[in-house]
This record gives sequence, C-alpha cells and structure tokens, in this order.
Amino acid sequence: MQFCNYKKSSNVKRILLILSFFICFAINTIASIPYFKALEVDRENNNVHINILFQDHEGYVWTGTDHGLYRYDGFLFSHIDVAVNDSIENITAIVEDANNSMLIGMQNGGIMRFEKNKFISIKSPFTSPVRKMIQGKDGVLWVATYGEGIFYLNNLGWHRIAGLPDPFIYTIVTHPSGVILAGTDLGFVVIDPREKQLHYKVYDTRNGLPDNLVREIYCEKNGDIWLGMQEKGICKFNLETKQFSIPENLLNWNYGSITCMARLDNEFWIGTSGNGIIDFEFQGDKRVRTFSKKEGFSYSNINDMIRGREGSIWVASENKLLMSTGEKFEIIPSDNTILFDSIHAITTDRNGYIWISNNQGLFKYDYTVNGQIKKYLTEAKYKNLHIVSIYEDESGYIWLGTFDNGLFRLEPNSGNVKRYSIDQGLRNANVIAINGSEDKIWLATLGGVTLCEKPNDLLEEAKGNYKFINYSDNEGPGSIFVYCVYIDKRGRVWFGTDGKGITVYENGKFTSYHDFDKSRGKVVYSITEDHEGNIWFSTLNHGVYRFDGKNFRNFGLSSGLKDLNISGLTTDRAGNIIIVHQRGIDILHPQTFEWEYLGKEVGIESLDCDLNAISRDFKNNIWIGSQHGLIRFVNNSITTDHQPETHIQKTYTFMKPGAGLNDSIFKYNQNQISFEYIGLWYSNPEAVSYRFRLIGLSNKWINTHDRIVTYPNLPPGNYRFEVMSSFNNQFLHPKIDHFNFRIRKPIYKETWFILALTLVGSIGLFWFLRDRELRFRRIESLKKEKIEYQFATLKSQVNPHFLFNSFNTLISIIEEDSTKAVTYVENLSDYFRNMIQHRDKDTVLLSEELEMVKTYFFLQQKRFGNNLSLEFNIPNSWKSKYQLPPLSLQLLIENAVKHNAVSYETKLKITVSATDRESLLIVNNLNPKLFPDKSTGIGLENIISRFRILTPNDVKILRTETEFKVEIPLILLS
Amino acid sequence: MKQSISKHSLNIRIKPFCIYFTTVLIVGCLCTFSAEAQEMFFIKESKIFFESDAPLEIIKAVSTDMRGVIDPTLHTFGFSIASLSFKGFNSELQRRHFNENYLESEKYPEITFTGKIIDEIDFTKPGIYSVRAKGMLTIKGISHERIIRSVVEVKTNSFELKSKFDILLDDHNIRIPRIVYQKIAPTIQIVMNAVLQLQKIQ
Repeated sequence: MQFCNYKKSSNVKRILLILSFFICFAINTIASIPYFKALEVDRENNNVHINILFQDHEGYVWTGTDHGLYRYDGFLFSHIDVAVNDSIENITAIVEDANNSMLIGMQNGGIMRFEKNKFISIKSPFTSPVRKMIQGKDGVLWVATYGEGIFYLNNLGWHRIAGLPDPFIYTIVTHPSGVILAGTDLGFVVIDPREKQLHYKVYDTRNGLPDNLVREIYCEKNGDIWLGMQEKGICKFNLETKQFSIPENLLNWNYGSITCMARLDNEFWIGTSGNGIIDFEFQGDKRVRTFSKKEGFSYSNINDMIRGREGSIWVASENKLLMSTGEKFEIIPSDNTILFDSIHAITTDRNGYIWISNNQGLFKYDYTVNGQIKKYLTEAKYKNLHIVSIYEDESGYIWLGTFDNGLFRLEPNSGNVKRYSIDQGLRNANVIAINGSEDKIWLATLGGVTLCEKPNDLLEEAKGNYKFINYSDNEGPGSIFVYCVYIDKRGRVWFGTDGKGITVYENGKFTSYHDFDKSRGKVVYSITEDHEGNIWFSTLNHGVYRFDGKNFRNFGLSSGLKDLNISGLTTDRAGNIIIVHQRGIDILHPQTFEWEYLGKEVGIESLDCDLNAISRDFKNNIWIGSQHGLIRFVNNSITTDHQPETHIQKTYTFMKPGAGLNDSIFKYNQNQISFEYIGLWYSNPEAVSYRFRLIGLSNKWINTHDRIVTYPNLPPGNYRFEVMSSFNNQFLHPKIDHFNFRIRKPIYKETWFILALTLVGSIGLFWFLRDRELRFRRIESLKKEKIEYQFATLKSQVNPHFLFNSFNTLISIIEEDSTKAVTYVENLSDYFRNMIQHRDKDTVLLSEELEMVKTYFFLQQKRFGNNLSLEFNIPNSWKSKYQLPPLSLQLLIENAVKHNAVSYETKLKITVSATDRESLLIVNNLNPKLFPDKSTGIGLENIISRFRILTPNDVKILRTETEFKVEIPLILLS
Repeated sequence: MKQSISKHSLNIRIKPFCIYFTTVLIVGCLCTFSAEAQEMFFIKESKIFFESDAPLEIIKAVSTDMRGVIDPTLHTFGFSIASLSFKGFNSELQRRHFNENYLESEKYPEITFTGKIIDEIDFTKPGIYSVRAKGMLTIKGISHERIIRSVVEVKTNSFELKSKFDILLDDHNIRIPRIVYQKIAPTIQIVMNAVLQLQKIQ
C-alpha cells in the first residue's frame, strides 16, 4: 500500500537515454563472518578454559575444562562433579564407548567412566595427559597420551604401542578402513590393529608430508584423510596412493598452528591458535575465508570444534562456548563505505553476482571470490533514482524498475544504460516488479501489467528496440496496482494485485482469483511455487495461501506462521517454502505443512526488508536484505527428519530433588511428584514446546512450554510419565522419553497386610470361639452334671425305700416316744429343706455339708442304731475355710449305707477325716450286702466328674479287702 | 590473613633457590643423559632483545646474560635467563616496573625454556637449518608449551642461533592494569641471537 502514496512524476524525462560512457569501479571488499552465539561456561569463573567439546548420544553438549566437566542443555551449564580427592580435574578428553557410557580422560593421565550418575576411576598405566580417546572396533579403547605414546585397552588389559618415533601424541582417529591414525611431533602414524602383530607405519617429510607436526586428523567417509599441521595448514592424504596434497588456495598458510577441524557439508572450519577460524570451501569455489579479529571475530584461540546434530558448529575458545549455524547463515555486515541496509531489491545473476539496489545506488557484489563490490550508475543524474526491482533477462541485460522513472536496461559489461518510460510505451513509470522468460519480460507497475517483447533480431535487441503491450485493470490483472510477477514451471504468468488477489496469464488470457477468501483483503505481495506445482502467495496481514489449481488454503498465525509482516516468499532447494518476515524466516514443508522458524537465536531479527529484497541464486543461496546487512541463507537440511531429543532430567518429590531417575518406587506419602524435562534444541531452545501425559492418571496429552510438571496427591498405583518435544509445536515425528514408577499403597492397604491381618484375626477369632465353646461346653456339662446329680439325689432321697424306712422308723418312734418322733420329723424336714436349698449351688461350705450329713446320719441312726457310726476328724477351722460340691459328702455316706449290710453283726463305721492335702478322707469298712440295692448309676461317677470340673485335684478311690476309701479334694474359699 | 602473608614472604625467600636448583638440575640431567656423548654445546655469547609495542609507550630491553646448553645427539636443550639481567629500559622507573610489577623478578628470578628440537638438524654438518624447538617456556613461574622456529647456522664446533617470536602476556598470567593498557602491549616480541660452542664435559 505504501507504493500508492508515491505521486506520479509529472516531469518524466522525454528523451530516451543512451549513455555513451559509464563509470564503474571497485569500491571495497567486504568480509563476512557467520553468526556466533557466545555462551560462558561458568559465569563466576572467568579462568575456565575449555579443552574439548563432545556431543553425547542423547544430544547433550559437554565441555571438558580445566575446572571440571560441564553439560549444556541449551539453557544451563551444569557442572558435573568428577572431583577425585576433592581436587577439580582438568578434563582433556571425552568419548563414549560401545555401550554409550561416557569416558573422560584427564590431564593427570586418569581415566574415568560415567556409570549410574557417578564417575568411577579406571586404572591406567600412564600419568601423561590424555590428549584424545577413541572407541575402536571390538570395544577397544585407544588413548593418545601427551608424553607416553599410544595405549589401548582391550579385554586383556592395557597395552602400549612400543617404539613410536615420538611419545607426544596430539590426536588419534579411526579410519573407515579400520586402521588407527595418530598425529605426533615427528609425522603421523598409521597403526593397523587388524593384524595379529600390531605394526605401524610412520609418514613424515621424507614421505612427502608437508610438516611433521600433525595436530589434527579428519577422515572422510570415502577414506580421504585431512591432516592439520603446525605450520603448513591442512593437507589431504590418500592411504592407497600415499600421496599428500595441499589445497591450492591454502598453499601459503600463514595462520599459525591448527588446533582442530570441523567438517561441514561443503566447508572445513579450521581452528587455529591465535588466528581464529579459517573457513575453507573444499567443494565448489574453494573459497578461503578467515574469521579473525580483523573480521570482527574476537576469539583468536580456538581450542576445539565439533559439528552438532542440528548442523550447527560448536566452537570452544578460552572460557567461551560459541554456537554457529555454520554454512546456513551468513550476515554480511554493513561497511563504513557500503551500507548493506535499506536494500530495495536484490537479484542474483547467472555468474553468481549479486545485484543490490539501495538508497545509495546500484551495486554488484562478488560474493564467491573476494567480496568485491562495484557501483553502477554513479553519475549525478542517477543520484535520486529509486530502483525497486532488478531482473536479469536471458540475454544477460540487467533490467531496473524504478519509482517514477520508468524502466532501465543496463548492459553489465559496458555499463550502457537505456531508459524506457511512458513515452516509450509504458503506461506507468513505477515499475514494481520485473520477471520474464524467453523473449517476454513482464512488468508489474502501478498502472497494470506491461509486457515487453524482445525483437527477434539480436542487433535490434542490442539497440534496445522493444515492443511494449499494456494491460490495464479490466482486460488485464483486474487491478491497476500490481506488486509482483511470477512465472511458473508451466510458463504461466502470475500477478499479485492490490485488492484483486492473484491473476494468472495463460494462453493469452487473464484469469483472476479474488474470491479465495471472502472476508479478507486481497492484497498479494509475493508469489512462489513448490515442487508439486502448487502456487503459494503472501498477502497483506493475512499470511500465506496455497493454491493447488482448485482450492485455496490459508496459513496464518494459528497454523504456525510466526509473523504476518511478510516481506517475501521463495523456495529452497528441497522445495520448502521460505517465508521472510519481520521476525525472521519461516520454513514451511509443502507436503507435511511442518514449520521451522529461524530468528533471533541464529542471529537474524527485524528482517524488515522491501518486497524485492529476496533472491535465490543458482547455488540455492537465498539472499535477503535486512537492517543488519545482507543475509545469505542456505537451507540444506530437510526440516522433517530431525526433532529435539527429549529427556526427563530430574524427578522431585514435594519439590525436593534427590529421587534420582533410577528410583521408581515411591512411598504412599511421597505422592507429589514433579518431572523436569527438556527437548534439546540448541538453535532455539526457547521455542521448544512439550506434550506430556501420565498414563495411569490420564491418557490425554497436555501441551505446555514449561519444562516442569507437578502431580500432587497421586493415588497409589502404577504410572508411566511420557513427554515429547517439538521445536515447532507440531509434534510430527516426536521423540518420546518416559519414566515408569509406582506409588506404593500405605501398609494398611497392601494386600499382603490385609491378608495377614485377616489371617491373624481369624486365628484369634477361632481360638476365642473355640475357647468359648469349650467354656460353654464345660458350663453346660457342669450344669448337666448338677442337674443329673440333683435329680439323682432327689430321686435317691425321695426314693420310696428311704421314705419307707424313714416312715417305719418314725412309726416306731411315735409309738415309743412322741417327743423323739417330733425331733425325727423335724430332722427329716430339715434334711429335705437342706437338699432343696443347696442343690442349685455349685459349692457349699464344708460346715453346711457337714450339717446336712449330720441330719442324714440322725435319720439313719434312728433306723440302724449303734450298728451305724459316723466319726468326724475335721479341724473346726476347716469348716468355714473350704468348700465342696453340695451333697457330695452325703452321697458318699449314703453310698456306704446303701451298699453295706448294717446289722449287729456287721456294724458299719464311717470316718470322715481331714488329710494334710486339703482333702477329706472318707473311710468305711466293707460289709457287702448279699443282695445289693439297685444302683442309680450315678453315685461315684457323678461325684468324680463334679470335682473334676471344679478342682484340678482328682477324687481318689481306694478299695481294699476290708475298707472302702474315698478322698475328696476341698476347694479353698476364695 | 596474617598467616598467608608470612607464608608468602617465606616463599619469596625460598623460590630463588628453588629455581636456581631446577635450572642446575635441568642442565645436570641433560649432562648425565648424554654421558656417552661427552660433548655439548654451551652458550658462549647471547643477546635477547624484547620489545613491547603499545600505542603510548614502547618498552625495549636487552640481556646478554643467557645461559644454555644443547645436546647435539639427543637434540634436547635448556636455556635460562635471569629476569633481572635485562637492561636498557627507557628509564629506571620502567625497569623497576618491569621487574617488580610484571615479572616479579624477586619471586621468579629465572625465565627458562627447556625441551627438544623436533626438526632434523645435523650439528656435524655445517649449513643453515630452520628448525622448530618444542618445549616449556616458564615465565613468572607459569609454564606454557611453545613451538618456536629458529634459524641455526652450524659451523665447525659451534653454531649460531637466531630466533624471533612473540610472548602473550596472558599465557603467563601477567596481568596489565587497565590504566596502563595503552602502555603495554598484550604481546611482547622477542629477538634472540646466541652463539653456542662445543665443550667437553669433565
């Protein structure tokens, strides 16, 4: 829209200008260096010196320093403690073995292995500094020492390569053929470990090696060997032909000693001590550049360089870790005399020259050879020319479109200029864009489209006689304001208009597409085409559209575009859509719609450039004019095949670290668990987004930019935490890391505990029930015994014989003595009363029992007279001290009376006497009856069982020829 | 704090002897290793010239007091020079600054360079050789490995040694106060000439 504000020039020059002479001269040469992001390993300690760099299999970048080991994850340098005996180690070598466990070598000759988050010392037979370690075939570790030669460690132990010309080894590498190469002070050594008897060959100046001091070796996959030397730079060596060759452009090496080399796709970066980095393009132009103090690269001592996984180059210099995108980006800064800013238009020509127009005029920049710059149109009359578009036609003429001043044709060799404006057939003098194919040149102007047809005759063309055909809004593009022209592979010509969308010219007909998005403005600024033939165009404030011939698809901020202020579109070699906008560059993969964003992190920002300030040359370099200078961008990598490496770094319980990644079982009350994770993406760590989930809680992925997640109050169970990362929030090929863990149930919820508890409980209950059962049964039996006994006693007492006998006795007494009879009846009734009174009790006092016995005896004695006698030998103190089952003593006496014949001849004498064992002994003499009474069957047995229930002491029965003895235990009154 | 100061002063007294002994030891070692050779090159005369070319001040000084020995068979060497032997400063003040503030000559009285010649040279064949010497350059007690190229003109029973190299002050922990940055260059150029003569060792 800004173009509309330009007033059309009223005093357009009427004459066709043919310049007879033209001044062009070299103004300057401009050196350029890639962008380096500088990081300090240890901010607090400026004296840290990085010796070596290493990227491990997980993607972490490690720095070995003289103050220990540091790991960098894109955000932080973490110091890894390897201290032995509290001294900080000087780490000089890092390698990973076949099992991916890390080995570090130290200045003091020590070697350690990183195992289970701890460094464990490996015994080594040397004390010289470890310069380099490599993992050879079959798990053999090769160690280059600085002072004791080369050692290797296999499963038989350490071995030393004997007889080397020099014990100071700078480097050691494995050649693809399997041989080991080492650099020393006295040439380089080729060791063949495949032979049984290890032998080696030394190559030195006598074999053609330019310099004996070989400090660095790099092996190509094809077997080519590059040697970095102390004085003579680099040379290539062929192991087959044994030929050494120094690249032509590096024959006069004066950059000092080489310390390290990193190989990029087309370049070698050579680190030196004192002269920064030498960039040698070993393919293509064989260009040599230096990144040194002179070019504004302030790091002169390069200690180590590696190429990272993302294609970036890591450089160690003193205490700084530098990261560069390497070949990918280059910013050619503004110089004192040439300002590469406010660039209006850029075009790259067939020779690789870059044509640039800005407020200072028109320049031709020779990038490939020496950065030379030529200025064109230096005459005063061109001073205020606004060149907004540049195009090189097939004949090699440079066409310049201007604001207000029409079109110019420049012959680059002679510098001749021809001008075309309204008078020469142009409808409008503001030529915004130029493009063409074969004999047609299309001009996008603020007055529609103009077709410039070349004459067939070369002479006519040289004269500059072109035919101009103008197409205005109705028959042409639909709008008079046309901002861009693009000619696709099929020869169709596409125009971007202001307000009328895109228009295509095909077979002499214009077709306008302006209804692709009804709700939005249709201002098209830039057009390009992908490999599939889809047309892509950028719009004012509405992002990018893809047109596949039928449908339009919009890509705005919600689809992944980082900025709507799009300056222009182009494609890279792989056909990705390159979108240049204010915040940087978006790369969109046209099939997968995957985005990659490059911005501040790689050194480009505020790319506020003009519409035509983007151009792609035939080497696939994309040139962009920016505020900071001219940017060269080449996208060799295809964005889809790499993604951040995702790693869970730490776990916390209640925000307390300590639970290492090895612990995976937590207590029930350790149930607030946090996970810290990272997606390693060094080129833009801030841009990495994450998705995580906790299987066991929910299978739903949650998106976040945070690098930590906390789960509070997790119930007991098995869980799996999964996290993935993406640099573009699209998660198309994510790398997932996971962590399995278990939260234990509290002990009272554990199955085994419940089982054990149930078991113990049921055993207890069983015992209790059994005990109760027994008790009941005992009580039951006691009751039964008692009832039986009572019944028996009652039966025996009320047995008719007893009553008859008593009554007969009574009758005889009544007749004899009525007073005695009364006493007898009283005793009889006492007897029954006592019996009724005591029969319900378990025990009675001895005195009570004796009372009953005496009553009974009184009744019986009336019957048997002196033939029956009963004697008591019981101390009085016993009578109220002991107890016994009721009627037990009486029953024994009854038994004696019942079973023995009592007569004058056979007197019955019963004695009840106390023993010294707290028992009573009942003794009677035996006079068995001739016809015994029918036994009730319960007498003695009943007494025995009753006593068994009540006391542990048994009733003892002893029957001799003449006596019957029963000993009953007494129960002490409690 | 007090304790460390006293330790420090003790060091000052002990250090010169230590360094003296080490140089003697180095030379001694070289002699014993080459017991069979019996013959060694010793410095007969020498001239070491240094220049610090800073924007505001040029410091120049020269010493003719270098001692040294080269073993012609093992190609090992040892050189040492007393820091205090440099003369020819612009002023006495400059000389004092040089010794007290930068080299700390009291504490580190010797500058040594010991090592090995790594390029081929035949001391029995007269001619001009350009060789590299690799060794430890010790200044102010800090050793730094250096590879220094020299031109050697071998004559019968003697040779002339010419060398030109730079020393980075930072390599040897010589810190220049910010205020005198304009007066002392971060790199010092050294030009060295010496004549060595074959001598028999008793």
